Amino acid sequence: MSINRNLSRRQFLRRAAAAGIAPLVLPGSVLGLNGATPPSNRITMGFIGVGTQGGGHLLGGAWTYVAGGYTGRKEVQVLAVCDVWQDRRDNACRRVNDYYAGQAGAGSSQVCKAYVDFRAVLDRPDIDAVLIASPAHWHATMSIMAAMAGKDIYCEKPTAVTLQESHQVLDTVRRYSRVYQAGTQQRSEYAGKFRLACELVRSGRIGKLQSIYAWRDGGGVFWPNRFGAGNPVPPQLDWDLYLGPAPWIPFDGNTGPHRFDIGELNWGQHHYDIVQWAADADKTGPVEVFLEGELSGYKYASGVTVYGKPYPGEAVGGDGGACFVGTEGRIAVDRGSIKSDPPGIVLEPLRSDEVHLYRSDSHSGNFLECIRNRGRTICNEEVAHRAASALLLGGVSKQLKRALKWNPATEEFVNDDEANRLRSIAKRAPWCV
Amino acid sequence: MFASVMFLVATPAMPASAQDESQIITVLQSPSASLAEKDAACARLKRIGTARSVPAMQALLAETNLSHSARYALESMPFPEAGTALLAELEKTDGLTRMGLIHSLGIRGETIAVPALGKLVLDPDVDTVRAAAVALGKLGSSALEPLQTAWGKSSGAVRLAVADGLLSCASALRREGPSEAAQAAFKLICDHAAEPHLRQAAWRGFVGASHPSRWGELLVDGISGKDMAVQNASLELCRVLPGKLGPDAVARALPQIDAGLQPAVIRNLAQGGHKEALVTITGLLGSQSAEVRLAAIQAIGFLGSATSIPVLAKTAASTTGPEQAAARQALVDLHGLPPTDSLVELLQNADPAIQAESARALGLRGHHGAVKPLIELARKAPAGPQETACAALGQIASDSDLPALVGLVIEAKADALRNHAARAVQSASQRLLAIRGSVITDTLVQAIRQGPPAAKIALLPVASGSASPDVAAALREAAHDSDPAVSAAAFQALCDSVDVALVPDLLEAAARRAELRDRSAAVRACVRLVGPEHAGQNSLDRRLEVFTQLLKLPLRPEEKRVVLSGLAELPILDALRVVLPMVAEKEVQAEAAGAASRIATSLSAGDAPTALPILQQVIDSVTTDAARKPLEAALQKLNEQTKPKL
Repeated sequence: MSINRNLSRRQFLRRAAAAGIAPLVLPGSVLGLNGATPPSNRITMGFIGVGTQGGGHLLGGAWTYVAGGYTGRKEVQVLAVCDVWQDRRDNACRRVNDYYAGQAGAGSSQVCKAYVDFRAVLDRPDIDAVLIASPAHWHATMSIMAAMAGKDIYCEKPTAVTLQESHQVLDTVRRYSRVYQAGTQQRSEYAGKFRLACELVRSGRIGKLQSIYAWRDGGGVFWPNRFGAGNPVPPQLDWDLYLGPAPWIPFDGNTGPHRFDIGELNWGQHHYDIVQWAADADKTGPVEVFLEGELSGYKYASGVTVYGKPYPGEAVGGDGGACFVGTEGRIAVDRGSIKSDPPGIVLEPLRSDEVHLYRSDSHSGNFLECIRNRGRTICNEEVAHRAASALLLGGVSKQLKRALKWNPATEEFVNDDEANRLRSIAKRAPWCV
Repeated sequence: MFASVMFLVATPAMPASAQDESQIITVLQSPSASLAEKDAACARLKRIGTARSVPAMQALLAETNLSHSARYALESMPFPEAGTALLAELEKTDGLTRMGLIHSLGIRGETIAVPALGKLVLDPDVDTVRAAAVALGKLGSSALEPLQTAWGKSSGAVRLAVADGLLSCASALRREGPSEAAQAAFKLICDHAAEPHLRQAAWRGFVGASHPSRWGELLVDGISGKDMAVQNASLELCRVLPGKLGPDAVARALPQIDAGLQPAVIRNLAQGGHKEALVTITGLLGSQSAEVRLAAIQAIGFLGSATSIPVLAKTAASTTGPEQAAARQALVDLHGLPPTDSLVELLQNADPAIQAESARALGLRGHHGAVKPLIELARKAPAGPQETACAALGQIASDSDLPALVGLVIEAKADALRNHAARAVQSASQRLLAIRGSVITDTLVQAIRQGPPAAKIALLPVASGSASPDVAAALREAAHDSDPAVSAAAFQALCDSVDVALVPDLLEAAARRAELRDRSAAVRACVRLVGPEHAGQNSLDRRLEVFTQLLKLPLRPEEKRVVLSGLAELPILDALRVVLPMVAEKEVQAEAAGAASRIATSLSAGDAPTALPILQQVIDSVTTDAARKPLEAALQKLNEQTKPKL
């Protein structure tokens, strides 16, 4: 087999960087770009879903932790925005183009195009990566289709709404060797508090880990009544595309990102992502799921028990965090604080013989860096799949109102036909992936 | 599917019974049942349905409104009857309804559907071809042939779906072991796909489908070839495959690989944890290419062990810029105790520059066991390693090491070592204080009382960071030492102290010290020790008392300004009264007015009526608009507080 392909300059630069080849790159000033990164050297991106979350990623806000969002990054060129609402996509597109128009050397001021159908974004061969911030029930389907189209993917949480589609994301991303980053940014952001907490727990600073209070319990989706009279669909909205793989339902005015959620589907993956990290469970998952009243919890094979509630009397943890309890102390962490009992546990610096975890100080930066060097992101497809599974298992248990046994190797409930049927939900055609 | 909500919210989980299922089937078959009722029945059958319920749901599969509801149940039922039902309806449906059935057959892994789907994957309708290709991709080896046929005929919009189906099938076949059929499928895509991501996926599969004995050769060929998609796939495999199954062969070939590609190969071998590559990678530290050397250093930090320590320390000592930074980081990144032991050995035997690098690394690694050898190094080494050793000691010494560090200060004959060692005592003390809330000061106190003058002078600044009766007493004694240099250092330590118990000493110093400069320093120290930083250790009355005593002294304007800055922080009426007469002093009028307005605005509402006339007197006394403006704003706020609330 001998293949020699002719490449465009941009393709060559992109893939040369990926392969670690150091091509001769002329500085922007030589190209008359006043120091700006030439468009041909940038990572080109499309944004699918530009509401509050996606708009924040695109243009700046709480979600990206970088002023100006991806649009403001020198190494990124936003080529497409997509939303089922016309005003959202048009506004986002205008703001991106306005930004570029104000930047010397950024090339054409009308580089970004607006799309209603994300498949048109995926069809563009000049787009390297997509950021998916659509409604939650779309996340996995879009991720799978993006991977099939050869795009690198940043996907908001929850990264899937069923166990089966979560596994399918993992398989597809692996099949195509795509760079995938889940939008569980706590491993990177918040001054490394979550990383430190996990390093200390895994280093044995609190003795043997016994239990974790995750603050939130399991989640899933349900479909509402799908028959009856609906309201007229506004002309600016593509309702069919909003529903996507969900069953057809009459328009009722709700186009929220989490309208089908039950339980803690929205925030749960943030918490369970950190729980998994601290429990050293990124390649595995629970073996038992239980209910404590209305709240789900689970156990790992190691014997560590995870409760879907706060640690009694502990204020730290509610903002995406958890409280880790060991035989010799405990550590509570969230976006705002990290504390321990005894207090010295978190004050003593980490030694070189203790556990040091993957370090990323910028979640979006880590994604872009991995696109360039084809490395694995801090919240890669397997990390995302296992954290999402921990969350969704609780959702199944809550639906069945009983405890379950789970085999994290085969990803099946043990001798439980009824529960196994709830691992997947049939998708509406044509969203069959 | 409304029923799923109802079951979730309202009904306990219950074992299925034949009676339940019969009732639900009756609903499905009832002409009078509504769409919603039938939908709810399907949702219930998803969980409890048996093969008995399949025919009733099959009857719904061709109905536009209810096909999805029936699929919702049938798709996850573990009975062959469900698959047969879906297949049987395929020919009776079209459009989106048929695509839904195709999908469900794929999800179920129904190999009986291969012939039917094999026809549909050649259908003129693009969406049908896509659905059939994706479904066939889930059906394993039996679907390979129809997909290969479709690949030859596909173009445009459906090509990606057909490729995905082919890749999925071939991957399933590959997972069972080396497979010529899978290889042929992967090769088809690798040779003919224009899309790089398809070629990358196909090459990855092609290698995997080959006999493992060939993987090393294929990886080397892939990396050395001209297709960057293949290069990327080969590099990725270097990261994910076990060393013996290919990456070790790449490592052996590394010196012959183009230097432009070597950094990427090194990085991927390192990320794969292939320790067999360490020797080859270490050999590349002598490369002409700075990129290669940098990648090699970083890789050694990832893959290396205790035996890598000498070469890394030498590199850190002999390079600059990114290479030195990488080598220093690698010396810290090599985790565990054996590398620490190697670093300790270097402390004892290596060149001074290497000793310094080893000491630096030991400090950052945080191993307490390195304290003794570092003290030895500090005693005997030349200036460079000596300073680094002391800095490292400050990072890792514990309470039990403080006597030895203080001893180092006392024994030191040269000023440089004495000062470095004293800084180590200070760093260690502050660190321990932050972690545990206390630090043992016995040796320090003893040295200040009985040590040689030079040691006392070096250690007195350390004592200023501790608050304990012993330390305070030692500072008082030292302040009266017969050696003027010692007493001067002690006075400076008193002024820098964090111990509020020393405020009386400082008040006395502010009143009695001969030197104007010393009096001024004492005033500032008093104000600091009763300021906001130590508010928890002093009552408001005590703070006011100290300020009042200070103001009784013959202070210069600049010292009065310092006192006023402290008074401004007290939210009590008496503070306002103390400030009032100072407004008349022209040199400090602005600061007094500022303090008065600050105090007035922080008073409680109950104090407002009493504060009003005092503040008015302050306003009457000021002579500039700039000073008056904030006071009037404060007056207005006080006035509002005195108005009755309606």
